[in-house]
Amino acid sequence: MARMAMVIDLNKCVGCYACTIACIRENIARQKKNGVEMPDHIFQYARTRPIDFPLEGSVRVLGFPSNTPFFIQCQQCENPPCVAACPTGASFKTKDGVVLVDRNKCIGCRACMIACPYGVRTMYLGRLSSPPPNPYGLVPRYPDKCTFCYHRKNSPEGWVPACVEACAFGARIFGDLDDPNSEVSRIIRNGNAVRLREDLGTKPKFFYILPNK
Amino acid sequence: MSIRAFIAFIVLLVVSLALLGYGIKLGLPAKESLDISAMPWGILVPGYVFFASIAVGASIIDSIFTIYGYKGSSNTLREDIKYSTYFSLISLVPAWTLILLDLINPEHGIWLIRGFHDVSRIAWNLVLYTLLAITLLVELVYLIRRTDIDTIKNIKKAELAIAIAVLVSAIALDSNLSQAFGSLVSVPAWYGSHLVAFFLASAVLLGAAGQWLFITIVRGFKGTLRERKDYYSSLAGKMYLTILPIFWLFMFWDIVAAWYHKPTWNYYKELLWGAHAPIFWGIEVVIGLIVPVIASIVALEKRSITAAIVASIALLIAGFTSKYDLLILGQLARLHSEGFMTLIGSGFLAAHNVMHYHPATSEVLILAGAFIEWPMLLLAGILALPLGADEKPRHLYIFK
Ligand code: SF4
Ligand code: SF4
Ligand code: SF4
Repeated sequence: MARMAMVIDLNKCVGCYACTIACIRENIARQKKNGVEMPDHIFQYARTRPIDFPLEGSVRVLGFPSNTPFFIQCQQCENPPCVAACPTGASFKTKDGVVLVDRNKCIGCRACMIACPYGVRTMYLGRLSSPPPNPYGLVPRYPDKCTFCYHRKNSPEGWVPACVEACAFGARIFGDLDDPNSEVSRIIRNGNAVRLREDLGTKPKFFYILPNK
Repeated sequence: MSIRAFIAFIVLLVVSLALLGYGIKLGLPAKESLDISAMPWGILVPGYVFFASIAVGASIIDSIFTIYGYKGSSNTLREDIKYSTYFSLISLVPAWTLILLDLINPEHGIWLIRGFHDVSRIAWNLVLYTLLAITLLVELVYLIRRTDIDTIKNIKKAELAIAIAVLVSAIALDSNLSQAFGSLVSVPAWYGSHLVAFFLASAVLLGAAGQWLFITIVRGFKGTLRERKDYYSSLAGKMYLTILPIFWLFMFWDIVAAWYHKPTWNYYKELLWGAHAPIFWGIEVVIGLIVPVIASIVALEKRSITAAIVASIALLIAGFTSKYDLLILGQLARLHSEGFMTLIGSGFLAAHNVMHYHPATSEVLILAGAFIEWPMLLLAGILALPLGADEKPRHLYIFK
């Protein structure tokens, strides 16, 4: 068993969008014979998205300066409301603690999209003609969200998500919470990271190191 | 009446199929579907809840006769029970039509059974719908085959057991349906067990209005309304004046409770004096409360069928609006709520103006198709089934 988690260090993030672009390239954009095919309004479907300020709610509650770049994506909840709401078991949690969608079982009821308190699930209803970039890439008419780049799990280079790989400032850290020697475990142990809306009991496995800590 | 009724049935059938078919063919064009990530559930969902509530409410109203043995003046309820049971059963069909057509990938529907997920309220909806439909069907067959339902003493144990099963399934279905919304913490205006009481009260109100209207129309066509005019007008008046205060008590309670919970208050602020206020005050309050109260008093005092019809239609219109407000505005309000940050933050809301929901053309067509399917099926029952008090089974073997 593993509990894969990600941390964004807001002290290091400069808001360069490299993660967003890398994710789009890895999971959303499709290769066509003569170019690239993407959903309209591509940034709406990016799996990691920047949030503009000023911002209501819990992020402001976190209390960091309003010019801090701040990205949000699926929080890979340990207690995911999206999975609980799904009537068919299409939304499920893997043994690694990653929440995925089994498209063969998905009836498209959108209950998972409503149930997600972080609003990170999207559904593209337009048409795309070429095949998805990987088995977990965006497919029209199915709920979509960050998969922690699950297709890279068995990669010979190790499981490194595209956004983590793309971040030139080392602001994104990915690893196993069940491995006490992993960097994410160390960060969490040190008490430097916070999670969004802990009060909801969703137990996200996505953490933020607040600025100046 | 028969030939004209048959022609009316064919016309309704063709129009309903045409609207549903064209709506399905249109689908959700990409340009109209931009909202879906912010507003996952559109107008078909309130439509579905509306019809499901009518079926549930009408089943609960039926129990006044089937369980408690109240026969109405001159056995009127006995005469109507087959119509009212059929009404409850058939009102489930447009609910199913709407929810089925709302699914983006209905071809994977088998997974609702194969992958049954017992913590999902939506999964349980399917089970409870099936249970309610089966119990109502059994009850209808039983009532059609039985011709001597005269007094409470004559009601056999089996009949009582079936009626109790219908009532329990109806209450379980509506409670579960409400919790399909009420268990979702992400929409503060829905979240909580209070929705059960709200849904049940609203279902009884809608079921009473729909069923009363249906039976009155049938009696009008059969020429037997005039002799029972006093009874039906006062029945409507008494029912509505009893149920309306209960429904509005729950509404008031929700509003007061929301005052202490900022995210839920966002919803009520929008409803009470925000952009949505004209719909709330104009339809939910004026058409859904003031008009039915006045019309019910007139129906009761003057024995006016017209006033009772006005009250019933007003309640149905306001009932649909109330479901629309709760489910559509509830989703819009969540976009303002704390913690729901992605779409707001990405500038998406401002860019696409999703704070105002506009149904897609296909949604409007499908909703209209379901609304026409409803009287079409009711008419089909009148034409094909022996629903009248003295009608004997004619065609189908199971009814003989
Ligand atoms: S953040 Fe949303 S989509 Fe991701 S696991 Fe949690 S509830 Fe599900
Ligand atoms: S849209 Fe698909 S994944 Fe989401 S709840 Fe419905 S069936 Fe499950
Ligand atoms: S982990 Fe993969 S899917 Fe998730 S945001 Fe990063 S690149 Fe996108």
